[in-house]
Amino acid sequence: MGQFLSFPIVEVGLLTFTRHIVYSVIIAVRITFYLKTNASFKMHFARKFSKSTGCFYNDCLLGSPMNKSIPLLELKNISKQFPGVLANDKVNLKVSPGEVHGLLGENGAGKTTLMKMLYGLYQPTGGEIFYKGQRVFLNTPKVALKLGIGMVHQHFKLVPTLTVAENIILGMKDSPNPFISLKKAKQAIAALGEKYGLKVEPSARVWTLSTGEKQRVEILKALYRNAELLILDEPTAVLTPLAAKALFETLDQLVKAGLTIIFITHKLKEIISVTDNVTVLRRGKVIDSRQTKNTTPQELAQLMVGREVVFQVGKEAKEPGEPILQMTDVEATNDKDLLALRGASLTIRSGEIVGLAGVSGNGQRELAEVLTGLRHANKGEILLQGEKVTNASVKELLKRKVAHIPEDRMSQALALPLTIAENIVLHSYRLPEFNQGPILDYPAINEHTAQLVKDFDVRTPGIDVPARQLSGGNLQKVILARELYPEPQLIVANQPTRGVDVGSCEYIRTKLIEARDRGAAVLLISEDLDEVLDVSDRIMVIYEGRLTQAPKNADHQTLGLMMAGEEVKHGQSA
Amino acid sequence: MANQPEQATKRSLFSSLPRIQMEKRTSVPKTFQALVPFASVLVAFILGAIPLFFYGVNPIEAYSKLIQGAFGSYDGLIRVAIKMTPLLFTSLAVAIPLRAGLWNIGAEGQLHIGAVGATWVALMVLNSGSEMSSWVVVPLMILAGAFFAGLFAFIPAILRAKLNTNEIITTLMLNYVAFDIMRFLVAGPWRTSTGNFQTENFPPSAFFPEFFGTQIDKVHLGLPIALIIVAVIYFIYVKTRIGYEAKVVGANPQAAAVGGISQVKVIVWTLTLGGAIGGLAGVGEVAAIQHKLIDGISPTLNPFGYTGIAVALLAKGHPLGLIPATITFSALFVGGSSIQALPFHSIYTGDTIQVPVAIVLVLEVLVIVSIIAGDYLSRYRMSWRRHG
Ligand SMILES: Nc1ncnc2c1ncn2[C@@H]1O[C@H](COP(=O)(O)OP(=O)(O)OP(=O)(O)O)[C@@H](O)[C@H]1O
Ligand SMILES: [Mg+2]
Repeated sequence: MGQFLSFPIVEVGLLTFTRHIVYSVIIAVRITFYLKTNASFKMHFARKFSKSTGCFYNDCLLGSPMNKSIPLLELKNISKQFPGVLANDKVNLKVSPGEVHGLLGENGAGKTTLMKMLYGLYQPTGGEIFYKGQRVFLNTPKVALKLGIGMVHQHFKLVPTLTVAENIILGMKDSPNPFISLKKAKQAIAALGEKYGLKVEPSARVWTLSTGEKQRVEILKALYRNAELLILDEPTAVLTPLAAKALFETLDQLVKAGLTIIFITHKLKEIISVTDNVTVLRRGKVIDSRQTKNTTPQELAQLMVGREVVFQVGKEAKEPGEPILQMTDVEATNDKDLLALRGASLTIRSGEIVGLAGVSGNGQRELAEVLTGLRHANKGEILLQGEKVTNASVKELLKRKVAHIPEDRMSQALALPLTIAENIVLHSYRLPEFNQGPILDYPAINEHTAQLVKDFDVRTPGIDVPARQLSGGNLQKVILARELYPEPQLIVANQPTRGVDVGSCEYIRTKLIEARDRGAAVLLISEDLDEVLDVSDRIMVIYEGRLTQAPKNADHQTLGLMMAGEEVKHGQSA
Repeated sequence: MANQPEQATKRSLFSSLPRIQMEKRTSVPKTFQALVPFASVLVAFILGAIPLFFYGVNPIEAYSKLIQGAFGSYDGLIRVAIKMTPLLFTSLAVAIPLRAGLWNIGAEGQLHIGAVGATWVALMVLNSGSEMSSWVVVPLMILAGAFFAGLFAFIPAILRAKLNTNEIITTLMLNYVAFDIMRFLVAGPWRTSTGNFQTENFPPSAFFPEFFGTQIDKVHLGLPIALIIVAVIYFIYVKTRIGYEAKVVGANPQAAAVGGISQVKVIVWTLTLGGAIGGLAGVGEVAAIQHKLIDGISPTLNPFGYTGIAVALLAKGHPLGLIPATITFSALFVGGSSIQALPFHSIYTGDTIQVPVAIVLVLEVLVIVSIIAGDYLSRYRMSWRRHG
């Protein structure tokens, strides 16, 4: 070999060749890792021959019939330890075939973590999982799916530029044939949709779909993979009331067809109306598991939080003061360049909470963004305490103490890789108390953060952990803490209690009312009519980019009609 | 529905393998993060042993001579320090915008523009025939180099900030523009009377001061400047308001917008500052090493600008990490070129053979691969799983 290599051309050639191979390996490795995070090679490692039963472990279960007498799923002493956080502590849970099992618990109680272990995304640090009476090892989602466990995450995992059918078959390898038949898939998807009331057009591109439709795609994805146990993590948090109703009808049909469902929600009403059994988690432990018909929302809330919860936050009547915000005839476009606000007008006074009801997608997001400087208003005028601030910059508006709780906390409100402290000063880092010349005063920032974390009862292992590690509801508290400092004049709160547990909901609403009592003007944008009715001093309805004043003692029905764009008597334009 | 059961026979191949468990971490421990680059370099050397071995060279012998070549003598150390200088500048050019999530692939072009800027000043001094002190000329050269390179990087910066053009593509393409500008100048207006593709020699007042070293190689002003800049950038990123702003933009641009941080400002200053510092690499090369502008101030096989990207990756974009990372790479080059001159005995035939240049390139690439792989793997918690 040495002889052969002594020709210089060959040497250089060979080594350059090696170099190119290495480059190709980099590229191949990156592509594999990025596109297929759960690469199929892990699958191979994941299987092991089980001598005792004479078949591949896990695989004996494939397609085996459900036995009604044994639980479909049983968790025994399942624990999950994250660095510094015990997210699940010896959890025991039984789910019988054909039931809808509710899972309830405060933010950070460990619901999502538990479900991710069932779906093979996390590995338990202790305990055993039994599926159809057999011990199973759920190493990857593929293994879970093979067994018939499907999950719909709260944050959808779809590729927006692909069609519904393409998304559904993505990553499936069920025949040796390398060519996929989209046509067959589309037929199968349409048939599934028909059967369970999950109507979506299989050839529509996912980015054109509404949130409700996207969720249907996620459910179809699980059904297409023959899921028998379907896990839904806060499915209704992102749905309009109407879409939620449609989802419940689908769940009904799924159960009739023999599926078993685990359903996570923060809305106690939904637990009562949808589930057969309910398990309550608190700080990673199972507090209780009971039949839904033998319990009440009050009792559940108390189990969950460990104290009495008031559903109606008390507030005193207050005479509103001077107008803080005066917005007239504002027009603005949305991200697709279509007109989203069409002459919207709104006045909010000091010490007043205006609730804005409406079906999402009628211009709420655009309104919040125009008011906070994130979106350009093409027409109209915005006055803040009588001074013109139309199209002022975010920085300018922050200086004038306009607070903004954005709708989408994961992508808009927080920088998840940064620490709690770095996130908490995102709006206030320019203030003199956190600066010494051009230098940020980190000790002061840390002290401030520690104080707020304590005041707002944020459950976190520390102030210098990445925000990514906190549960959804705790992230919302971080945002709230940030926005209420320094005391704002105008608060634009877009869906502030979405995905937040009852205890924290109460807390957030109380905080908003406190701010109003101090004289702030609050715009509360919410799809939750109970919240709007409970918290607001005055209610407006948004429909197709226009705002209408709701009658003084409007109820659910009146508001529902107005949200659907119907004229209601006594409704006067504001 | 679509599933069909797979045949069990297909799986028996894998049935006896142990199972590797991978789970994503939300945060990688700091100590672990610091160890990964060292481990990566080690793995690269182990993998690099394979081609060496096939080639007939004893890898252990080669590596020990490589390390000796770089660190074993005063000469070697000086050469490492000299190679390090431009690499520090170009890796800073990559690492500064990287903090804001921007990839500057254009350090190579910025280096050339910086060299052109410095040459312009030097040639003006030469042509005017005046006897200016180097206290005036050298700072002017540094300023001109940084200014033109910064201006050159401002183009992709403003395009990215205003039109959202991908900076990876624009900075990369502008490299070719920079090469052509430099080639045009050395082949045309600035060409020497002797006819080569190079400029006249600079006047001595346009030479960088040199400090210590050997007869041929001397450590020059570039190194202290680079080290000071590293310290300043570290300070900016860790302590100041603008450093915080860049970090937020890098972590989530949307959140930065909600916080009222101007993305345009951050993109423009990070890329432009990076470009200006990249230009200093070129200033150093013409003012201290070549003493003229020639076609080929940056080595063709391991161009400083592109190697800077690898260096910044090895340092994970951390300003202080750039120092060990540049030492690693320049030692690799210095040691690599020193072993080429040495005779080895083939382990197959016993003949005297030589190690080719390409082996250093292979090592360099292997370092990059293992950095990337190490970075990926360190985000997962791995364990062997037994089960009953
Ligand atoms: N990957 C992780 N690394 C470290 N800690 C984590 C991780 N994921 C979750 N945690 C922590 O584990 C606990 C449980 O989080 P989990 O997301 O399961 O809560 P949850 O019950 O789903 O809450 P929510 O209702 O807000 O969604 C929290 O304290 C959270 O901070
Ligand atoms: Mg959750």
